Formats: sequence, C-alpha cells, structure tokens
Amino acid sequence: MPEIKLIPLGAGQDVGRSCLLLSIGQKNVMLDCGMHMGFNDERKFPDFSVITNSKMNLTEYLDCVIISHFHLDHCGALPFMTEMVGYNGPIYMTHPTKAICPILLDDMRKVCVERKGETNFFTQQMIKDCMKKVVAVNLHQTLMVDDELEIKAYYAGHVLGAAMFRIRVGEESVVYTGDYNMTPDRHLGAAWIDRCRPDLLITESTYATTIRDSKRCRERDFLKKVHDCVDKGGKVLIPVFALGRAQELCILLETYWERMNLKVPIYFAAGLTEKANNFYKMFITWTNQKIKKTFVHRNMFEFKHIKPFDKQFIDNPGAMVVFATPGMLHAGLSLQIFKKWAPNENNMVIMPGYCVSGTVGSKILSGHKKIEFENGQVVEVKMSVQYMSFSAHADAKGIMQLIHYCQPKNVLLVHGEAAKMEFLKQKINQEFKVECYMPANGETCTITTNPDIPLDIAVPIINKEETEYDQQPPDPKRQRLVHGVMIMKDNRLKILDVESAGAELGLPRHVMRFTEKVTIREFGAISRVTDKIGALLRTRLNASTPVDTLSENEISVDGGRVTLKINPVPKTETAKEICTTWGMEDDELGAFIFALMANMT
Amino acid sequence: MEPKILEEDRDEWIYNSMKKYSNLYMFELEFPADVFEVIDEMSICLSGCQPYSKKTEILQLALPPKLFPKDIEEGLCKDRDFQIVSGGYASSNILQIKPVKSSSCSGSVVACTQGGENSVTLYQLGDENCAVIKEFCKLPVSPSLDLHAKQSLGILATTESSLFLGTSSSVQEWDLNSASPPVPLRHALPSSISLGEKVTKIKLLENKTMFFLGDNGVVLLHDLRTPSSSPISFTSSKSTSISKAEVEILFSFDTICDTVAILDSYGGYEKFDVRQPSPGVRVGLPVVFGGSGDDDVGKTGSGVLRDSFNIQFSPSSQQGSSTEPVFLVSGLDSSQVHILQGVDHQSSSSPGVDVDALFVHDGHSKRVTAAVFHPSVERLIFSASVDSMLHAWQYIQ
Repeated sequence: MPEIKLIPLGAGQDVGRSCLLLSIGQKNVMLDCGMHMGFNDERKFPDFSVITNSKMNLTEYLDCVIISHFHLDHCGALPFMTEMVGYNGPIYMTHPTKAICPILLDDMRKVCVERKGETNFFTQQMIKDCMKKVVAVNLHQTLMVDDELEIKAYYAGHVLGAAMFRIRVGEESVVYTGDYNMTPDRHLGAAWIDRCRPDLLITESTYATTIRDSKRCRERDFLKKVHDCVDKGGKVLIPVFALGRAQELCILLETYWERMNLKVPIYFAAGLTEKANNFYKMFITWTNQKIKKTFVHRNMFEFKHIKPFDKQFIDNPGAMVVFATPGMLHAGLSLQIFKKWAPNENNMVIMPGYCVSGTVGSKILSGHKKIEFENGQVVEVKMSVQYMSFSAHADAKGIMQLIHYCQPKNVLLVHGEAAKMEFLKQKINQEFKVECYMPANGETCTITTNPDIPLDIAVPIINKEETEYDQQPPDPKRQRLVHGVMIMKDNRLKILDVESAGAELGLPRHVMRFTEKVTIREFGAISRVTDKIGALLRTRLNASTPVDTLSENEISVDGGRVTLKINPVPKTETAKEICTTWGMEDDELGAFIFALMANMT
Repeated sequence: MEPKILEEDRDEWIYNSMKKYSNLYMFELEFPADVFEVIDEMSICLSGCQPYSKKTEILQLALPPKLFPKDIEEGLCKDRDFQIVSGGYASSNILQIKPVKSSSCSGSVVACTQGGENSVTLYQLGDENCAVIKEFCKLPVSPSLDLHAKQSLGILATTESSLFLGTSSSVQEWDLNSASPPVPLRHALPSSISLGEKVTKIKLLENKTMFFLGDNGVVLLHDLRTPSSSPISFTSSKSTSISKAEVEILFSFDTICDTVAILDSYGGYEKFDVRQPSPGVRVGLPVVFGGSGDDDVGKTGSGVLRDSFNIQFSPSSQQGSSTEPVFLVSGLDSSQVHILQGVDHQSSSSPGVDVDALFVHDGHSKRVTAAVFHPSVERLIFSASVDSMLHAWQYIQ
C-alpha cells in the first residue's frame, strides 16, 4: 500500500524546535529546521543522523527543505545544516521570511558566540551562503520542485510572512502548517486554506488542549498595567524583537493613547523602527485588510504618539514608555535602560515573549531580585516584572477549525503533550472520523494512503458501453462492466479494446473456438436440415438474437458468435453431421445451442 | 438582524472596563456551554454539543492560574488560559453535572443526568495518565421519576460520599462508599407540604439537611435523618397567584447563613429568616425582567429562561459594611448578569431603596445562560452565553 512517512527529528521529548522529515511518493522533504533555544550544546540542533547514518548525505537524500516562518525555533538551525553538515539542494520560504531570516539568524549568532562564547556555531558568511540557496515563493503559487514534487504556500497569520505549505507528489498530498493563527489581529490576518483534502495534515499542537483568553482581554491587562504605572509617574520598559509583536503593541498603545488623550511620551528605539517599517511597507500585501486600506492615506506604522528614542532620555524625570531591543535583555539598549530603571519600584518591565535561559530576561522572569554582571556590577531589581504572552497561536478551537476547512484524511500532531494524546485522538476521531497520530521525536510514523489512480479509456470502449446501456448516465449505485485490456505506457495507464491493445503491443490476436459435433439421421437434402435447425433456433432463442442462414449448410447466430455447419456423413444415406462452433466468450450461448442439437437425435 | 458590533465599540467597552473590573477574561469555547459547574476551587466541568459531530462533549478545565491572587502581585505567573485537563463524549445531552467527593473512586468523579435516560451516570474525570473522561457507572432510577426536565431533580454530592436525587415527593440516596453498585435508599418527603409537581432546586447543608424548592414557590427545609419532625417551609407570596396567572411564574432560591431568599419571575426578591416563622419580606428588584429577542427558546411569558433562572448568594462572606448578602441573578433573557445586594434599612441612608444594584456585567453580546460565583475567590464570577463565550470576571466594589 502507498505510504507517507514522517519522522520528527530531535533529541528527547522537547518542545521548542521544529524539524520534520517527510517521505511522500519517492520524495523526501524536510519541513522547518529549527533550533532549540534552551540548550547550549549539540542538543540545540536537530539530529540529522537518521539520514546520515544511512550513508547518504543530505543533498542526495532530500529533495527540498521548506521553512514556514522566521522564528528561530523553525529556521535557527538552517545555516548549521546547509553549511556545517552540508546541503546544496533547494530551500523554499516566502519572500518576507527570506528577507527577515538572515537578520534574526545573525542576531542570534551574536548572542551565542559573542555573549555566551559558544564555539562550533555558524558564521556570518555561512548565513549568507545559506540564504543564497533559498528560492522565495509567493502565496498560492504552485511551484514544481521537480517534475513530480509540487509545493504551494498558504497564508498562516502568526507573524509576517508565515505560511502553511501543501506538498503534493502524484495523487498524495500533505499540508504542513508550521505555526498559524485562526483569529486576525491588529496587523495580520487569519490563516486560510482551501478544501484541498490532503492525505495528511501536520499541525503543531502545543496549544491543542488550551482554551486561550481572548486577545482583547490580554491587551486590556497590558494597557491597564501600563496605564497604572505611568499614572503613578513610573517608567515602563518593553524589550521587543524588532519584527514580531512590537508592531502589534505599538498599534495597540497608539490607539489607546489617542482615545484616552494621554500625554505620557512613548518611545521606540530609533534604528529598528525604520527597518521594521521598511519591511512592512515592502510586504504590505502580507498584512491584514485594515492596514492595507488605511495604508493608502497614511502609514499605519508611522505613529503620532510614538517617537524615536534617544539615550539621553533614559534619565528624564517623569513617566514614559519605551520599546527597546533586544527582546531578552541580554545586551544593547534595552539592557542599558533596564540597569538604570530596575532599582526604582515605581518602574515596570513587561516581557512580551520567551527568553532563552541565561539571559537577564529569563532571570528576572524566574524571580531573581539581584542580577550580577561580568564587570562586577550588581543591579537590584525592585521594578515590577510582568510577563504577557501575545503570541498568536491557534488553540483547541482553532485546530479543529483548520481540520474542518481542509478536510484531511489523516491528522498528525507534533509537539503535543503525551498525556493528552488519547483525548485528542478520540476527539479528532469523533468529530471528523479521521485517524490522528502523535509520534514522539525520532519515531517514524507511517500513514497508509488510498490514492486515486487515473486511467485513460479508449473511445471505442466508451461507445460500446453507451450502446449497451442505452446511453443512460452512470448510476453510482449500480456497477457497470466494461471489458478491456489495461496497458501501462509512458507512466500512464490506459484501457483499450482488445484489437487496439493487440495493435499497440504488436501482438497478433489469437482466438479460441470450440466445436462440438453431433450426428443426426434425417432424410432429404442438407438444405432442408439447415432450414429445420434455423427454425428451431429462431423459436428457442431470444427474439432479438438474429439467426441467419448463410448458405445451404451454414447458419450464423448473433452475428457469428456461434456458427453451425451441416455436413453429410460420407457413405451414409441419412446421417448428417452438425458442427456447432463458438468462441470462448460465448460459451453459454454455444453450449445452449449444442444442447438443442444434441436433443435432435 | 443584529447591528454589527464595530471593532471600535469593542475597544471602547474594553477601555471603560478597566475602571470597573479588576480582572476580566473571555474565552471562546468550541460550542455554547449547555451546563457548567464549578467542581472545586481549581477546575470547572462543562458540556455542550460539538458543532461538527453534533455529539455531546464533556470537558474538565483547569482555571487559569492568574485568577488566583498571589501574595506577591508580580504577574510572574504566566497563564491566562484554561487548560483542558480531560475530556470525553457522553451518549446524550447532559442536563446537570455535580461533583462527587468519594474516596472509593480514584480521581475525580462527576454525576450527571442526561436527556432521555432514566439513570444517573457517573463519569470518571481523567488523571495524570489519562485525559479521557469515561463513563464509570450508571445508577438506575425508578422510572416513575421524570428525568427530562432539566432541573426537576437536584443531584448533589455530599461530603459523606452520598449522592442524592430529589423529586417533589421523595429523595433517593446512594452511598457511594459501598463496594458493589450502590442500592438507593428512599426517603419520603413530608406529605403535609406540597412542592407542586416537581422540585426545581435543591441545596444541601451538612448532615443531610436539605432545602427543596418546588415549582409552586414553596421551599421546604427537611432533615433526612429525622423524617418525623415537623417540617419547616417558606412560601413565596407569589405562590398563590400561580393558578390565576396568565403568564407562567418561575421561582428560584438560595440560602446563606440564616437567610432564605426566593426569587420569582415577576421581579420579586423575598427574604425569610430561618429562625423565625414569620412571613417573608418581598421587594422588587431594580432589574428589568423582560425579554430581549423574538425567539421563544425556553422562555416563559415574562421573558425569563425556564432552565437557567437562578439566584445565587456570594459564597464569600464579605459584603462591605452591610450585613445583607450579595447575590447574582441569571437566567433572564438578556446578555447581562446582575449583582445585587439588599439594603440594610437600619443603617441605610436611602430609605426608599430596597435592593441595590451593585454591578452589571454587560460584556456578553448574546443571551447569558448561566452565571456562578467562584467558591472562594472574592467577587469572581463565571458566566456563559449562547455564542460560545465563557467569561471570568471580577468586579471592583
């Protein structure tokens, strides 16, 4: 039976790194190549030994690599794989992903190598070389990787440029979602896919058993905390990544400040605003409807209440809100601001995302009240530390909606909790009547598919069927029998009638005919016997079956299916021999007629 | 057609809410919750009809950790989301869910009545190894009991591991600690007090003392261990109007400390003191009980929802300076939940007012089907509406 195989790569039962090996048809595709942010050793990269152990290198084994979006847990290990392990084949991602990936990879490289002193890490040049192998794809564009493997990207929401991919080989197809979001937010739309009915849908299920608080209430909490803090004259620091939730939070604060007529200044670290703005301008088609519409009149990312930040403002008295990079407080401007503001209990820092362990961000989130730096400086953390998760992921309801949209024949969940596996399997089974799989890292998951096999049918056969069934349209409840010969030619299957098949194959047609003889005693001429047999047959056979007397001693039934020859037996007066001949397909008719002859004796 | 709610209006509501609520959470469920019940301090159980398969799913959800106030109000706790602890499917729609505290069943168990079934079904909620809710056992009920109306029977779990099923004439009790399938014990209710045709709500106090509310507006206080003692009852002043009424009258009640209050669907709140036999004091509520929409789903003529009409006293004892209990009213055909408090006339500065409207939650956009207080966290209420939304909100006094 045809199969689709999937192996999640990685060591152990960890969440936070995506890298899947898909085998479909005769093709092997790698879906995402993420890095695990929690580890510092070789466990941070996926374990490629599954492929390399079989004595093949990655370029030979993989037909292509697909990256869903620029988050490091989906693309962080790509330069490592292409330049350090070695891969020269095509890599596919959307245009925004291709533009933004190298920036994030380089930022991360700086943190790991320069801040944490890691060796055995990819270099800046490696990132550049890696990106040269990337082919950018557009949404809903069907791209042929080779003459059999086809991929297509769908909008996923989540972050700028995130896509879900449909991979098709022959009649089998797989949809890989990456991270996606089923509800639109302030700057991105919601994920969308057509009813493509893939054999397999692969989806992240980190939140499959979560019912998320609405975005509005999370925002409300954020706004309330910010407002309460600045009301008391405190300063709010929000460390952000340049591209990600920062834009969303800016739009949120801008709208709120406008509505509540607040005068407290909001700042955004200068350099990054321009870069981010440029990306959003370039990829405006990837944002949501509202932004596209208002963009004609004014740039949604040029704010009235948010101004560029100057380091001198750090010491300004009074309340303010500052967005600064980097997002984990591990270096740069945000760390500088943090050091100055942390000792004041009126101030607040709001961490909007995940922080790698070891960074200042992760330390304060775990409750550290004193942070020690390499230069001996100790900072007391009296400011309020808040964590707000704004990541746009699909939860239980969203996953069910996606399955309902695309109607897969099987569902595979990655990164799910093992304890909840049975519950999810039962639920998906009950709701959609499809199988649900949840392989562990390193485990091969095999899904049997039932692909349709297309056949070409020769016109004469269709015509014959038409006459036989009185030109009635096909009835799905009643099968019809069509006789033909199936030939495989040029990778296509054809059904031909016997003669054409013989001609195609250059085979002469052999026909097998049976003859039975019976001797009767009849006076008179042969022609009399012939007429008598003819009359008998006409009465005994179906009225629509033609019985033709071809000559004085030959009768043909039904156009030659059965023929009878009457010959005199030599050296006798009355004996006549009747030879009944019929072809193999007409056995029933032939045997019936022969029995009639036999009864004449 | 409802007017389309603009994003700006929703933003506006959120901005205004910041002064009114200390906490506000809104969850979009996969289906409208037909039934939901607070199982314990940390979890709720709910059930409803899945939109795709049309089957009844029952879920146990763990409350978002951020709902519980911590000593250090630092917001380091990350979670604002419900976690599905376990879930499963029921054979038919569920009418009631009540938690069972039993030592003989490992893990948590809930007892349910279901549509079209003449039994009480016990479901085993999941544990760390298994997240599937499975049917644990069925307790058959004698067929003379009418199980089809949603609140015709009150099912309860007691601390002594007994399960009670009450009707207007009797109570069946099952001892869940017995090893074999438990055989019900039948207690007859005093025949001198009529509870009408069916019991609509039961409240259990300790030691097998129970309050029963009949659909005729009578509340009966009865101790099952002393069946022969003279029964105590409280009758709503609207009870006598039932036969004359053109529009069906519904009642609900709740008790706290020594107060019993009966709510009637004509907008009246009648208070009784358990210690004194004197008639109750009925006041009108400052809430409109009329209907909002055209469809007649489960409504009485006065626009109140038959299956959801409820009054609940706030379990926590804090009431501000007044000794009057705080209560919520739900099951009106509206998208609002009302928190009210009776006015203590002795200390009140506004003698004309009988009941204060403390708070109105208007965050739902569609009809609210149920609202319930959290058992311990102050002023925290859960409310569910027909548009699949479940809200958890804590108002500022």
